[in-house]
Amino acid sequence: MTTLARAGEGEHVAVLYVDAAGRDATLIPYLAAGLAAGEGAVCVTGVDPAVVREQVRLAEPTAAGRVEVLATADTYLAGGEFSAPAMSAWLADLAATAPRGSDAPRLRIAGDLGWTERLDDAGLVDLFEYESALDGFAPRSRHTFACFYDLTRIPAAGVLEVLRTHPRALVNGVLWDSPFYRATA
Amino acid sequence: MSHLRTLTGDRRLVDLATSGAAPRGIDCADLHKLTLLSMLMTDRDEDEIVALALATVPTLAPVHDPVLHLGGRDWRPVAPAGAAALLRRLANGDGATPVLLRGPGADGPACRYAIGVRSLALHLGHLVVSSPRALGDDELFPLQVLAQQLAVALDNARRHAREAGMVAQLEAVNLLLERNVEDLRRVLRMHEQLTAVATRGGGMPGIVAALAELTGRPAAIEDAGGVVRADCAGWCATGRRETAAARDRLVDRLHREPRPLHDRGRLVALAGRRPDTFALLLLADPDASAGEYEQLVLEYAATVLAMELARSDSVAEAELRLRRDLVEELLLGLGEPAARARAGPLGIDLDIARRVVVLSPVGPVEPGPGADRLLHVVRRVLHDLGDACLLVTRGATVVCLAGADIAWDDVLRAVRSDPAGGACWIGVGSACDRVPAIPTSLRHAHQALGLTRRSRRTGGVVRFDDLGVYRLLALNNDTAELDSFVDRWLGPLLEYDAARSAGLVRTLTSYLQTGGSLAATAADLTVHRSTVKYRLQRVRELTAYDLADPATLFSLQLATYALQTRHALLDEPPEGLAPQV
Repeated sequence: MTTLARAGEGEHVAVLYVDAAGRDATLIPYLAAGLAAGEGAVCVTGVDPAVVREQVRLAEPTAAGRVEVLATADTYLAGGEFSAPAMSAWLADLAATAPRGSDAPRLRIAGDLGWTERLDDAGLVDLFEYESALDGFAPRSRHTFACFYDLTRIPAAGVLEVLRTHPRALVNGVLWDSPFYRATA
Repeated sequence: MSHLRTLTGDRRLVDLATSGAAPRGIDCADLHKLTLLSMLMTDRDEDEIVALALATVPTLAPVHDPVLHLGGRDWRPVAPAGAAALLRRLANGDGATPVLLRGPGADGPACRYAIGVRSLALHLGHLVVSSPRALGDDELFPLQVLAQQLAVALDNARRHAREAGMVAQLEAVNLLLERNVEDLRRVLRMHEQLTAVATRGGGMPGIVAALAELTGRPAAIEDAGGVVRADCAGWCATGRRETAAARDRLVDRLHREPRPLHDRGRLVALAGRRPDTFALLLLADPDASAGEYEQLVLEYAATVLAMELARSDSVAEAELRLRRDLVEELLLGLGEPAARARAGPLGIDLDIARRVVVLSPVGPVEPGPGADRLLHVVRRVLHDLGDACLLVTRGATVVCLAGADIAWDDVLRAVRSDPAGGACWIGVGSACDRVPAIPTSLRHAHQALGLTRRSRRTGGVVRFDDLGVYRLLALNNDTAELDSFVDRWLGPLLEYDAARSAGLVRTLTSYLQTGGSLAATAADLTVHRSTVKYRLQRVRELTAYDLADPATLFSLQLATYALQTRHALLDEPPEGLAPQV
C-alpha cells in the first residue's frame, strides 16, 4: 500500500508532483486502495474522466464503475473561474455526509489543482483561504482529502502556502508532517 | 566529521551527526523545514530555488527582508540601499562566518547580518537579512544551513543548465552534422550517377535521365541550334518560343557568368565553349524553387555533357580522318588487306559495286575552302539519297566513291540548287566491284570529267560508260601514240590554226561528226555555209586530203577524236574544239 493510501480518516494531505506520471503514480493507487477497501472514491481532475476510470479499473478491476470522476470545469472552475466559497461549501457538504465516528461510507477524495498557474496573486489568496477552510472541517469527517499540486505551475511562495495549509505533505514519496503548517484557528 | 566543522565552524552539526539527537538551540521543526526545502529545491531552476529559499528564510529565524547576492550586481530580488558599501565590508571575510553588517547602536537595536552562501567547493555569495535585534548563534544557525543548501541547489541547477545547454548545442551540432552528411550523400550520389553516365557512354539521353532522377525535375538538352536533342521526365518547352536574338543573348550571358542562369521557367547551364559545338542543359524550374543542390547537379551534368561533346567531336574527327585515309588508299590502290582493315571498324562494305566520281565546280574556286564547301554539299545530297559515300577533296575537286547506281543528273540538279553548291562538272567513272578496280574507275572518272568540261560549259554529267570510242582512245593514258597519230593527220591544220586562228580543225571535226552536212556544220559552228565550204577547201589545200575518200574520212575522224582525248587526258584548253558527248 502506497504512502498516501495509508492516510487515515479526516486527513488533509498535500501531494506535490512535477509531471503527470508522478501525479498518477500517487493518485491512482490512492483511489484504487479506497475502492479495494470497500470505500468510495471521488476525483476532481482536468484529465478525461474516461481515462481516469480506466486507469483505476486496471489498478483495481473489482472497482470498475465505482469511482466518481468530476471535471475541473464543473467544479473548481465552474463558471469559468475559481470560487473559494462555492468550492468550500461543496466540500463541506460532502464532508458532512460522513461525520467522524459515524458508520457512513467513507470517501477517498482527490482534487487535482494542476490549473493554479492561471491564478494571479489575489487568486492565490482565495485558493489558500479555501484550503484553510477545508483544513477546518476535514478533521470532522471520515473522508480523506488529498490535494494534488503541480510544483511546476505554482510559484515558490505558493509552495510554502501549500505547506502551511496542509498538516501533511507527500513530497518525493515521503509523507511529511509539514513543518510549515499553521493550524486553522 | 572535520569537514562539517569546517563548513559550519560549529560542533552542532557534528553532534547531530554522531548522536542523532538535535543539539541544544536547534529546533527539530527547523530541521524538518530545511530537509523539506532541500527536497523542494531539487530539480528546479535557479529562480525557483532562490524564491523558495527567500520565502523560507523568515520561517527559520526572526528576520525580515532577506536579500540574496550572487556575485557582481546579481541581487535578488533587488539590491538594497548601500549595496556597494555592503559588498566592500564582505570582501575581506572568509565567507563561512556570519558577518554582522550593522549592529545595535544609536539608531536602535535593529541589526543586519550577511551569511555566506557556500558549499565545500565554491562560494556563491551572501544571504543578507535584517532583524529587529541582535541574534545569537543558535538563531543564525538555521540560516547558515539554509544558505549551504541553497549553494548546493544553485550549483546543481547551474550544472544542469550548463549540461542542458551543452546537450542542446550537441543536438544542434548533430542536426547540422546529419544535414551535412545527408548533403554529402546527395552530392556523392550525384557524382557517382553522372560519372557512371560518362564512363558508360550514356550520351545525352543518359545525362538528362540522370539529371531528372537526381533533381526530380524534367530536363532536356538543346544543341547549338536550339533543337532538343534529348529530354526526360515529361519535359515540355515553355510556352512562348524564344527568338534567335533572345537565345543569342542567353548564350552570351552564359559565356560570361560562371553559374547556371534562370530563364523563362528553366534553370540553364552551358556545356562546351566552341561556337559550333556547345549545348544547353535545361532543368524545369517554373516556380524558381531550384536551390543550391539543383544548381550543383546542373553544373556537374554540364561538365559531363561538355566532355561528351568533346569526345563526340574527337570521335567524329577521327572517323572523318580514317575515312579520308581509307578513300585515299582505295583510290591509290595501295593494298586491299590494309584497306579492308580500315574499312571494317568504320562499318564500310568494300564488296558492293561502286563508281569513282569526280566533281569540279564551274568557274574559279579557291582550292581548299571551295572544295570543302562542295564536299559538304555533295555529302548531304548523297546522304539524302541514302548513299553512305566516301569522299575526299583533291585541290579544287571532290572525289567520291559512291554506289554504282546513283542518278548523277539528280545529284547535279540538287548540288546546283543548294545555296552552298552551284554549277559543277561531274565525271562518272566505270563501275567496280573489286577493290583493285577502284584506281581504274578513278582514271575513267577523270577522263570523263575532262571531256565534260569541253562539252558542257555551264556544268554537266559525263559518264565514262557513255563515251563510246573515247573510251577506247583513253584506255591507254600514254598520249605519245595519240600525239603521233594526231600530228600525222592534223598537224598542218593545227599549225595553220595556231598561226591564224582559222578554226580549220574545229570545222573539220564538226563536218565529220555531222556526217558531212554543210548545213549542220554551219549550224553547229554558227557560221555561214560558205564559210564552211571555204574552210574545207583550205583543208584540202593544206593537206591534199580527198574528203570524199571513206578511208581518209575515217582516219581524219579518228584523229579528231584522238585530239579531243589528248586534250581531256592532258587537261588542255579546248582550242575551239567542242566534242559532242
